[in-house]
Amino acid sequence: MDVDYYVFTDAARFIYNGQSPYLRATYRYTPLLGWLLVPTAWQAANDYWFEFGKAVFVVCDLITGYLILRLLILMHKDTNWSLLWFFNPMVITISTRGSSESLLTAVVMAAVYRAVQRKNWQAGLWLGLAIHLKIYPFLYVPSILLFIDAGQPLWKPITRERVKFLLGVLVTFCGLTYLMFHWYGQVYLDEAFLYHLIRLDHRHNFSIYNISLYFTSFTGKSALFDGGFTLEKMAFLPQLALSAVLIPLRLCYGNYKPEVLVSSLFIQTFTFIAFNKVITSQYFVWFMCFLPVYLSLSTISLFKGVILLAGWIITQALWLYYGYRLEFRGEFDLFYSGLWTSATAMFIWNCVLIAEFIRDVTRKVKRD
Amino acid sequence: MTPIKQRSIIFLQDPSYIELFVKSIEQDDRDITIPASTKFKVSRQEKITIPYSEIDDRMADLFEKVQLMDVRFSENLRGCKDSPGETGQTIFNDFENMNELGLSIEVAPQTADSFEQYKYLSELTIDQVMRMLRIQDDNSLIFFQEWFKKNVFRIEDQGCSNIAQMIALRLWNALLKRNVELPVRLPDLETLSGVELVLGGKDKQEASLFLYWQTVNRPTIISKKYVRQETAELESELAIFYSTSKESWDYNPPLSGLRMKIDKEKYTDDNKMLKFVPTMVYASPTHNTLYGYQSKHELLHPIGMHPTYKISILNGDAKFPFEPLQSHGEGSCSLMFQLDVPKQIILDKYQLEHLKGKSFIDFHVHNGGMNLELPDYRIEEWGGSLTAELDESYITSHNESFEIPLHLRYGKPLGSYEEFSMPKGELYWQCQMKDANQIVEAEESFYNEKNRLGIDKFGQNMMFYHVQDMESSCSNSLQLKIPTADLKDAYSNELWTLIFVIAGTLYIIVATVRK
Repeated sequence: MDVDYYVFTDAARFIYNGQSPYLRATYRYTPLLGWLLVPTAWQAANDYWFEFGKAVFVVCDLITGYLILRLLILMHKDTNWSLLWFFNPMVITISTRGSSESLLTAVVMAAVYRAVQRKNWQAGLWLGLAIHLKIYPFLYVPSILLFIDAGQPLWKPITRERVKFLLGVLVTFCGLTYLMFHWYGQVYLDEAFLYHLIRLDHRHNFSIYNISLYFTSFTGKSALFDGGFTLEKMAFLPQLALSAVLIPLRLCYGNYKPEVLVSSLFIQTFTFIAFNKVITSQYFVWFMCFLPVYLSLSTISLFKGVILLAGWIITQALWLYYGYRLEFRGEFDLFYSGLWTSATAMFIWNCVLIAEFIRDVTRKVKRD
Repeated sequence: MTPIKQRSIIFLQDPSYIELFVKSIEQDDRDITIPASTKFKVSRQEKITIPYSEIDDRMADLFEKVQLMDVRFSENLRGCKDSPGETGQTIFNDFENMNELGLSIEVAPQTADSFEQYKYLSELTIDQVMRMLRIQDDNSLIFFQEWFKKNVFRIEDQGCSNIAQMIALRLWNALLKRNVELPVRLPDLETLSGVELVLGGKDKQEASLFLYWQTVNRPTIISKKYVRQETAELESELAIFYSTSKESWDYNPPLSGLRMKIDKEKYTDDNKMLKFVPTMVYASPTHNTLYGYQSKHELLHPIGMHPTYKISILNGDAKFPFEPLQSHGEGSCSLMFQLDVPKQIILDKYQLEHLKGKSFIDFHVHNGGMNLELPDYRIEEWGGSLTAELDESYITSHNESFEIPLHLRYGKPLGSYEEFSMPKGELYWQCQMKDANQIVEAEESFYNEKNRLGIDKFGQNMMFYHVQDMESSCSNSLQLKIPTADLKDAYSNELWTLIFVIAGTLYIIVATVRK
């Protein structure tokens, strides 16, 4: 069982009892999630209700899969690629353990599906909801904007359709956020949004920044720079420059093709995660929902694909090996020599993958 | 002038040696020497009651306002070399089963008229006690049950071979306003097991200092000269007890022995040899060691960052039921578990919630609402406490054991690991006394301390039966190590992280912009 599932269900119990979900320590999500899981608090009647949330997440997995299938049909691609989502063991495990990521992927895919259908107002509404659920889908705003009215030059960005899309985003995001703030107060903003800007994240995770964060959380300053400048304050810079600006501009500017849009979203998400201060396995679901569509247009050879995938798995396995030794066996001297080196290996491999994906998509665009 | 009163109790655990023991007691003009040998298993307790009139004015003022305060200290016993045997029943069951580690200060100011004042007085009192003891510790106190509590699990050895001795001497010297000699010999203080200071409550303007020796390995010398100090009036009473009960399981056995009063009237220049008088009393202790059962405390391996604390109940003598029977006069009993943990450990109340309906009937975590995610160096509180009511039937049907999941916080990155001790929990039966006679006996007993905080104040008219730790004589803590990073690596780590992030960014930029 995912520890987060206990957090969601405890929060749902608070809501069920007419209280704030933020009474549950470490609940750092929108109250919508807690509302959705209120039936898990009906345990007194039936213990099975506790598993209700997992059922919701599995249904969201199926909705995501269905939308992937619809996208593939819409793009006239081989629908068998959708099996990569439906039968993905990682996706299945994450949802059945009680992680809520599939709720987000369903909403994100709904936004993308509507964007591809050129229903921009609806796409905006869905994307606004996705950003409200978790902040990172704001990355998709520039790519979708470039995709809408793709022939529009950069110096004349405003079009009626783009405004409709942006309005849709603002209506749901601002509307829901205002409503939650109105009902739950400052604690909602602190926990669901501001916390993510100030979090220490000292406990180890896949991120290359992790051990530096551990040191900084103790000393309060950088070992390299004087003043208040620290590495993690700078971390947003390459992350957002690449994932929210450079990659969308390169791949989506002048692009009419929905498969290129989806591929761009895939690479942007992958880059955002690779450069993030925190990386856990659940985050991989964020880009996996785009993977079937991306692979349907990929020109990467099977041999190369196997090598790229093997490198991704091996570097992760290496990190997990050291993580296990530290976390469950309590072995010493693993932070720098074990965890950081393997996190760095994973980061390097992720950079290789990102560059390869970008080359792949540009190659495909050029060829068409 | 109200005198300082000293009560010395020597308890001989094996009564079969009583004749030999008494014969071996020696007395000269100045001292009474109580023998010690491997034959005589002896425990000792000193209770020195100091009236507020003899206490430093500032502290006396504070004590009058506070009325309820309990300061306890137990040495860290780090483990047993040989397998320890069962400790016999004494009347010092409260001390023997305390399972305290380090210093614990509990304060419940009785004159406060608001919660703010209650907290202010508690903080002030704890700060004053820490100053008296000259112990530096910045951790903040937590609200525990109905009062404030602070624990200091580790007190650095400040050139003193026995910290308990240091605590006792510093308390004594700082408390008394005149230069009065502590009426216990320094060599005896060196082997002290525990110290406790308890205020007298609303009715008594006095503080009691308890000194406790679990085992006495060398002769105890009681000096009669202390009562003739010029700076204060001191009355002393010495008692040597042993149990005369034929039944080993008798929780309130008749105690026989010898008593001697030592005061200025009796101990004069003309009369320096004092006489023991035979005595027989009932201690009616509210704390008992449960017969026939012991507990085993262990951390399951591998420990890692998520230790599992396992407590097993060992049945040594099957003829005794696990639950103390109503034949002792009590009504309903609850099996309880009390655990204090240092701030390096996370007691996740949400995870513990899932033990309800299994080994826990109910529980409460007191940790001042501390953050579940922060590293230990970002936590202000000293730690947290767990009070759990256990489901005896569930535990006995599940291998007579229960487990408590714990989590370690990240520690200061100052080397390979951070080492610390966690006190073992206290497993005990808490029974409500129903019989009026029993309540009166317990209240009027010469032994019981009514104003002690801690589990004694969890309910009224309670009788406690402690499931003694099988290693209680030589271990009161479990050792843990948190793997940590080494700050020496910070510079190279940050530098290489920066280099790889820049290189990775540039590599992707090149791939993006290249035609």
